[in-house]
Amino acid sequence: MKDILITGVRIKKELITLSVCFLIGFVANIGAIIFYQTVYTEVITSLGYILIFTFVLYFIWSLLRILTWFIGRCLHAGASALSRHDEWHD
Amino acid sequence: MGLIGGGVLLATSPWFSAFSEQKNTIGSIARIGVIGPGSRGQHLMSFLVKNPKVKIVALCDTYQPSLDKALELAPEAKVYNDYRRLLEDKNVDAVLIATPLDKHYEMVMDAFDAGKHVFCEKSIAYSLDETHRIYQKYLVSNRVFFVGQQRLFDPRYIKAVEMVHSGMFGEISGLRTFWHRNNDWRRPVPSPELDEQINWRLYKAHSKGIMTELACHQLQLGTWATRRIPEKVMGHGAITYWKEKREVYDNVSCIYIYDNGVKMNYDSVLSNKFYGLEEQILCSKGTIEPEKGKYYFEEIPPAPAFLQLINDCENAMFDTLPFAGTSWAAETANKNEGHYLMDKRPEGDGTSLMLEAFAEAVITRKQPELIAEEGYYATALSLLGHQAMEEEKMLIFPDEYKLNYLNHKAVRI
Repeated sequence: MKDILITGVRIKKELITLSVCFLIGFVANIGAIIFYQTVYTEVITSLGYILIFTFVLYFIWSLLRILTWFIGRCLHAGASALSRHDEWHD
Repeated sequence: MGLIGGGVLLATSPWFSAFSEQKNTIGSIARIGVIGPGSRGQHLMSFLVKNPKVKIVALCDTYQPSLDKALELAPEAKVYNDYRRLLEDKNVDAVLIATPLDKHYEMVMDAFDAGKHVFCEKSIAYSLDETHRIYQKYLVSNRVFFVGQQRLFDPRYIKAVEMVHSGMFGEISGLRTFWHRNNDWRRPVPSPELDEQINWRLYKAHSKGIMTELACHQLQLGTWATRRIPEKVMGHGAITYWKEKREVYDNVSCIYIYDNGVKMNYDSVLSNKFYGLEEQILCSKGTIEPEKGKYYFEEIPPAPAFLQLINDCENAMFDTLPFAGTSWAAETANKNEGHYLMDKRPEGDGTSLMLEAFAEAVITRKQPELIAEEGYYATALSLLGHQAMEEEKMLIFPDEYKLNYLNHKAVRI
């Protein structure tokens, strides 16, 4: 079986992505508190919801990245095949 | 004692006085005679026999099967067939009367004359006049007088009333009480000639039916919670479903009106049990349902802003889709689930504590506050409601039956 290698750069990148998701949730919560005029203690008491939101957002973002990677790979494979076909005819 | 042990009964409750000398009475015995140990009487006995401060020393009934069953609970009790002989028994300190309603008056009066303390099952008596005479007799008897209004000792009800009195729910705007069942209330009888004796609740000569047997409990809560007595009552009763050999209503509805315009509704339908029984105390800031053991505030704290944001986003995204309909998310966020009155549902309905209080009172010879008066008005209101239905009139609480209690002043006629 092939070992999967997760590089330090990759871990750092994923942690930054997760932090950005958390930050989006955190800022959205503050915005919502102001907009709906609720109490500021919700900055702390809603942290559980923010964490759930963070992972949901991270999951959606990851899906999008996988999809982009998959499409990119398909396009790349198509381009390579076309290139080989041209070489053979040359 | 569960109630005090659980820290439920607050010092402000007048019923606290019933147990104020509990430690001083250890080792003392209340010798009790039970008159009418039928199904209800045996139920009460099942609590009494567990109390180390009680000894059931005498039983009286005219129906031998009831006596036989009662003797299984209290095998050492002396048996009588005439309650007057029981009242002559010097070993009896107090009597518990659980006979048909029409028998209460003479039994309670004779018991006071014989110097006995009295526990009388609700309702107190068959008529307002008899009820008033019993109360007057109690006043001069220097004896203890309990009426079987067990809600007064039910921790859920005590807590509910304490909360209402504290003002946390604002002003009482109305009360809705109901007791629905789906059965004919009839018990099987070994032979037809015993039907009236066993199923006495169904016969006008012995009972006022729903009002004296069920409503009495719930009307008492109205007095307790509002600390007022209704001034007027109107209502309608009918036999709509259980028509065979029934003389009392199986479908009643009454409106009791307080002097401040607040109303207490009472409904009972004996052919539908979906809503069961409940007393709903409707206040300006909240609602209490003691039977369910819950309360609800009118203003629900808003959902956290973040959830509101999510809900609104969901609504904005999905509401316009024809198949989505109304979003469930916003309703869920605003649903009023209410709060429980107590962390744990009490085991009993107050009957056990009520009987413990009675034994304490018999031993100390001290009448706890308000119990007789609450019992009196519960009976008076149920009888007045029944009379209003019979006469199809709105009735005003008669002055001659008023006591010096709450907003009433006794009137000498």
